[in-house]
Amino acid sequence: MEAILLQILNGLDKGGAYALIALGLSLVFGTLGVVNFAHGALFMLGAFVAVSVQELLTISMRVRDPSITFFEAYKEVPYLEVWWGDVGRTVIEYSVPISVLIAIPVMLLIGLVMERGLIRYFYKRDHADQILVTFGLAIVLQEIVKSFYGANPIPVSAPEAVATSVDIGAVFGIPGITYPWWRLIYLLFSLLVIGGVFAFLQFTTFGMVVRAGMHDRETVSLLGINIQKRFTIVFGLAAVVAGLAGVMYTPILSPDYHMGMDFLVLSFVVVVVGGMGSLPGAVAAGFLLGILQSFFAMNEIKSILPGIDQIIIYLVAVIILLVRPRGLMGKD
Amino acid sequence: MSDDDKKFGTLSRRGFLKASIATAAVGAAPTILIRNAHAFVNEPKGATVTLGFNVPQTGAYADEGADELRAFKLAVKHLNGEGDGGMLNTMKPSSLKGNGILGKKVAYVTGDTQTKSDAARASAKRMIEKDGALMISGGSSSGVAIAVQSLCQEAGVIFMAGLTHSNDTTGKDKRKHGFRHFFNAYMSGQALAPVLAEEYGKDRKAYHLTADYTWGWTQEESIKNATEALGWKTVATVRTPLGAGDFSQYITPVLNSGADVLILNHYGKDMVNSLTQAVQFGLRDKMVNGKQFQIVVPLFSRLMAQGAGDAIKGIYGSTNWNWSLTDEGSKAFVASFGKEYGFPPSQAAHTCYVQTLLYANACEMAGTFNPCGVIEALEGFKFDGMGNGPTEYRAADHQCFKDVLVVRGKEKPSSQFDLLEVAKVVPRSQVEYDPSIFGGELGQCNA
Repeated sequence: MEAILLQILNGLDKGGAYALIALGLSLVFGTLGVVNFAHGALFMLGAFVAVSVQELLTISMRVRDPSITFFEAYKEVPYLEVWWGDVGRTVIEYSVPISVLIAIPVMLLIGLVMERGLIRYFYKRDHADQILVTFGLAIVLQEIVKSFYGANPIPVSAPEAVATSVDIGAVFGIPGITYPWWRLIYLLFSLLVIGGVFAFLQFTTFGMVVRAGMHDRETVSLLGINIQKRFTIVFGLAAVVAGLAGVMYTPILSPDYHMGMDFLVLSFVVVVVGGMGSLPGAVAAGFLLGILQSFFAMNEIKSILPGIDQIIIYLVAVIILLVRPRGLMGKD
Repeated sequence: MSDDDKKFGTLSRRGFLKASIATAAVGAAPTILIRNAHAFVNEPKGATVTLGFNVPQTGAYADEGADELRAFKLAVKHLNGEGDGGMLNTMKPSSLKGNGILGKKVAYVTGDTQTKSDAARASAKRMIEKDGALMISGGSSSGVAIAVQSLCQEAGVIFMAGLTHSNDTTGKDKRKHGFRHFFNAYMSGQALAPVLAEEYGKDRKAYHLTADYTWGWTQEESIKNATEALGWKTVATVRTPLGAGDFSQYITPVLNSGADVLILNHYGKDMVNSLTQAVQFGLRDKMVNGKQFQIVVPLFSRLMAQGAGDAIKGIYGSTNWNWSLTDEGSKAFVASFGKEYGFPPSQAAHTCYVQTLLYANACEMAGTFNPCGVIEALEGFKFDGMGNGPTEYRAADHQCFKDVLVVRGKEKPSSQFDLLEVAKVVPRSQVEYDPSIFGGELGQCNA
């Protein structure tokens, strides 16, 4: 029972990340009709906003390190600590929440520049061209990040108060089920962001126009609405969602330049399973595949079907596409 | 059949035989001439000798590769008599004079392994065939090392392995032209297990998470055998895909498995992620079977430890070398490297530096660059002053035998480099084994 509860929680938590990335992918495909292979790179850039903020907050003065005698080595003490003492240390500790606030305008800007500077020239080209150019862009972004930050993962810590785990089982009357605080926060955060995006599209005039444009772009344009401008903003919004998913993921996975690619393939499977361009489909498929991946990693199942944990997502994708070729919630 | 036919048939057979012999002779002539003209592949004719450094310059191990390259460049500098000489001053016995190798200035070319066997073989091939490299060294993965080692055997050049820890490199996949200074998974198991039993007791239940490739398998087998021999039980061995990123679905089953030790047979990015996540899941704060839960990382790397941050504190593992050692060889190397680059070298850098010097010294001892002579000089070569105490290149499998370091993540690091502390120096005698246990054949010198 405990094991199953843990795996459900773990699946939801994984699914949160998949859903966030897939939501942006689906949003871009649904509005602009672009298959954006650089979307994983936006997730990675978000994570590196957190790394950059952490580096900025820990800009340090170099103090000679007397413990190393073989050569001239230096210890680094952050200026914030020198100037503000405990307050400075707390600010450094809360670098991830601070990064969330900074990532919103930064990622919006990156998204807008990406769309205006490159993607828009490929709207009328076929999907193969779009895939090639966005994939190329992803590699360029990756290499730029690597040249600044190296190839090794860079640790980013969650605030100390939530860096440990909590006995979540006690809430359900089954004590002894511990789960990391930060992963619970991540799950909650992803639900909030997903809810926010849906509310934005559902309850604002802007959102209504975007939904109308997704449904019938031509008619909306004929009504005198500059739908292209709104779709550009939607691209920026998708970049923000991917970026925030990346920022919040840094305490879970030490970011490196390649992390976007690792998530991209899975997210595409999520989008295809959910139904290309369907936002609720992307979210539902994200959580579904997250839970499946978690469940099939259980030793009881792996002992019967060795290696099933590594193929289950693709197996389910194949079955769903055979039964429902347009995905779970795709429209004909 | 008519007489004419018979005659024609007889003549045809004779003719065919004659023609075959003639063709074979003509075909062989250039080869024989080439063999005579060049006694061995890439024999240096000019005033320089070219070495090929094949390291990961892109991909997940690019930082480790960059450190290897720094060490190679330093070694070349020292061999050519530039700089402070580093370990040239401490190596014993040494035939190195600081005037290159056999009087020829050392030059080098580099390749990018990308930590992919195909790419590594292609870059090694390019360095041998186009750049005239006489020796190939470097690398940060056992899969790559085994692939390049076999290529070097076929090409007839020497391979001085970089960081490779799988038992197979000098076990079932060993080659006459391949030499490994780095220690291996078996040695890690033998060195680490008694320390673990001493620290955590003999009544322990271990759960293994293992990277699903050659190094992971041999690491798991070695540490499992060594700990079980001391009384530990193995609850489960679970294979994880390379580069899984999020290991949470593999860590959650550990929580209720009844195990009280988690052994992470992971390296590089996988190690950073699985260790960080295991700590986040509160494993180290748990009490299981009335004992404090523990995590063990059999192969430690300081470069990787930096990625894991605080999660590394108090964790036991093993390492080939650490810059904090205070023997004369280590001090000379760290001082030299530190002066040149401003930070201490990694264990990958150390093994690559030592391998280059050992190759050069073997050429000097043999008085030739001919790989057969170099192999003969390296086989059974005993040396000291290179940072690991008395060391021997065992002739039977081309594996270096030396003391092994059991290390622990430092609780209070004094600097960003000071992450590991040496818990025990395990004597060579404790990690020695019969070369036949891993099978494989060295084969013959191919020059």
